[in-house]
Amino acid sequence: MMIGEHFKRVRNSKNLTQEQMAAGIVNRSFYSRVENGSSSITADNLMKILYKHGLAMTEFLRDFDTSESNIETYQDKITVAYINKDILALEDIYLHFKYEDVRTKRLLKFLIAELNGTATRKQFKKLSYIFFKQNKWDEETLWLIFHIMDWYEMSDLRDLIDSVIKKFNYKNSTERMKQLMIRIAIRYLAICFKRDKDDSKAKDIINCLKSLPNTADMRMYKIITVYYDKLFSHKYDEASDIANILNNI
Amino acid sequence: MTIGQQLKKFRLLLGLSQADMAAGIVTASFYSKVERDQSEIVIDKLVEILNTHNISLYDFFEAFDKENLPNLNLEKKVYSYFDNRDLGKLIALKKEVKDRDTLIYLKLKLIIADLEGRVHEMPQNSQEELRKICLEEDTNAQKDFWDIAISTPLYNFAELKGLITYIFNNQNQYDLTNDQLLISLMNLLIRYLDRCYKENHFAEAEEVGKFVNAMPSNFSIIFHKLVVKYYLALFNNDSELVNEIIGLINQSGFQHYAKTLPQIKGEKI
Repeated sequence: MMIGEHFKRVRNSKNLTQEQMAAGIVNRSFYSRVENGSSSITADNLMKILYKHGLAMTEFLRDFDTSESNIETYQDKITVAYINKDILALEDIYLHFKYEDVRTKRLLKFLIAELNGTATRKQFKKLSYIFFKQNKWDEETLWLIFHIMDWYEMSDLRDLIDSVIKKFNYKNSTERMKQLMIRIAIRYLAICFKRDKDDSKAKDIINCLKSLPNTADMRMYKIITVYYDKLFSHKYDEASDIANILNNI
Repeated sequence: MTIGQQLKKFRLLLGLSQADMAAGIVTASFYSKVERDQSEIVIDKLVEILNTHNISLYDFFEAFDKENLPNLNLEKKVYSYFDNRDLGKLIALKKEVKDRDTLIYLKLKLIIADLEGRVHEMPQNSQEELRKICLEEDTNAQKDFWDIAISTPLYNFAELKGLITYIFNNQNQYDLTNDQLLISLMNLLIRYLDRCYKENHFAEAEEVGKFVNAMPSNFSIIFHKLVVKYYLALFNNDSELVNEIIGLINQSGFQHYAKTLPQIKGEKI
């Protein structure tokens, strides 16, 4: 879709005439030519027109953005594919991967091997070393940790969680960091329950999660926390009920 | 903030020369003038340059939106608090609003009135104004359904059903990968289900159930799907499931949301 066409769609959705849409910023005949694609409008005039009508540039141009520099979307794609055990999707991402970051590419390779059943502890140790040797504790490190947590021994995993909590002050974290930390915490609970049902750190983490704010973005995390709370409190029937509900959504 | 300034900022971030940045899409000398705000660039070429260098259009234009659309943040908050049925935050937000002549303030009042069960007390002309504006927007080119979701109390059931049926029949034209669209649509469906339950429209509720089952499994709408399940359990008189779901929502700390959900009625036909 070209910008002119999109302009027309937006204008129609607001039931405006071309004259009204142009809002005196450009004349009607020019606006008409922009819509049918025979003239180009300057970025400045486009902004003036959109803002006059209370429309955001980011929203207007959403479909024209071919950049994949929105690393979060990329990371989320990888996480979703991993959780769904979608080897083909991961391989596809690996083939088209064009970022500079070596860590993510290595992780991709490792995850594919893991899903194929060919990943080794040696590979994991090397990966772990590469992730942390730069001592760069940023969003990407948090994101990387989530995917390899299962490979750690319990004691190392506990140390890792402690490090995460120490290095990331919840109050000063970005929204993204908070989300990643929560996902790590929840995954810790899942791994923990499989291996060591009486882990005291788990109870601490559950209490932490329970004290998260009651905002829309926290809803599912808090619901999942209730599930783990029941599990670690040995209320297995209640936990099972919750699992049934969530699995059938 | 000008286009030229923003271009320069990103160019320096990427460590590119002006000629590199221009990338043959415009001449280097023209690009130079644009950066210095001496020439204006057409949007097509600007987008092409940004895409070529993998610069997110969102990142580039966000600053301009923030500067020129001060209400954008307010809108986001209103929709988010509405999504979470957070009456407390909505009331606090209403007190903060300085410009009371805006549409968003009117929407805010409507949401609060709805949650407090007193929409009928709203002045008739306000109700009419909102109805007109929300129904006027062409459902064709919806980028989200917040307006309709918020204004459902203003429609009679037939009108509401008509809107929903239209959406179901034309679902292919909606971008169902867009979280905002999905979340607002789910809110609309939940409000619709609420009306269905209160006015005893079983068949229509089943239609919604079918539609929701086929929706994508985005993390952002799992909670909403849970609420839909709740309503369907109500319709099916499945008191065990009803209690389990509402218990779960309450225990996870969202009592204020649970309060907005209807309980099981007495005898149902």
